[in-house]
Amino acid sequence: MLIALITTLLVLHFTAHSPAVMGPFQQADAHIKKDVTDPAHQKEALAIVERMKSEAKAYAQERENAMDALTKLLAKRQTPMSDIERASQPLIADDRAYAEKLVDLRFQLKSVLTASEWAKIFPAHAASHTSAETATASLTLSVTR
Amino acid sequence: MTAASGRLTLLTRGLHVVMALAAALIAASGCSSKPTVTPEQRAQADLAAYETQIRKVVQDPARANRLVTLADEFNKLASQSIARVNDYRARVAALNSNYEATREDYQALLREQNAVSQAFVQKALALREQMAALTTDAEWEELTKARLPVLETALQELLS
Repeated sequence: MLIALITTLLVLHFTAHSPAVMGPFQQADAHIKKDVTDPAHQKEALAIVERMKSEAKAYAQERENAMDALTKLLAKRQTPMSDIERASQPLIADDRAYAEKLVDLRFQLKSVLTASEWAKIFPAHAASHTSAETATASLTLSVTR
Repeated sequence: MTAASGRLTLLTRGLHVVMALAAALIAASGCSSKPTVTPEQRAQADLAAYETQIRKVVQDPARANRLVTLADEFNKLASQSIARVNDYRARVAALNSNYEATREDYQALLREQNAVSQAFVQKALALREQMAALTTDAEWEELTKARLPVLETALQELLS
């Protein structure tokens, strides 16, 4: 019952950190090439972003596998909550470890960029835009029932 | 902002996301030229269809009523989750943009989200357990076929 919805909801929370932290770094390459004029710094910055992407790819595959296993467990009506909690532990641990890696890499990236370069590559208005995207329309979905 | 108004804001944001996605889906599927079906109507139709399916599969009215209530609670929980996850992502995005952000800023935010996610997970698992207790294996199996596409798509979009 509601298997797809429950699985997705759980995975969304089990893996809350990684997509959040990775967000702006996915598209950083072009900005770094454009806005970081020092060749050595540019090269270092691009290498760090590449490592971020590589970590993201590996993590996405692991998450996919864990999600499949979780779906199978959730599909069985009699699966006890303790089994689901146990199966979720690797997902949660991987997400936290991956987020930590990304934060490490984020600070490595900071160490090779100036504040003004950072502001051009990761503008604050992009962050506020992300927030604004969450409030675009209005509807009562469940509250109307 | 009070706790109640904060929760309302978060819920509203989640619903906004669901509807924005529904609108995008409708546009992508070529239905934008047929404004007779609004995203709101689609989401409500999903819920109505799901309720109908529950009542069709579970013949005992008392159990069916309880399952409809639980499904609705789960639906609300999912909407709230979308809002909370989006709020969290916006806060992380703000840190990512801030050159002066410290490692401790990240750690504090991650810790906070861990607690939020844990609470949501516990509620979701508790609801699932109640649903499982109210159904037979055959009913459970039959109800796996029923879906809430608009909400599922909104959640999937956040995972991708």
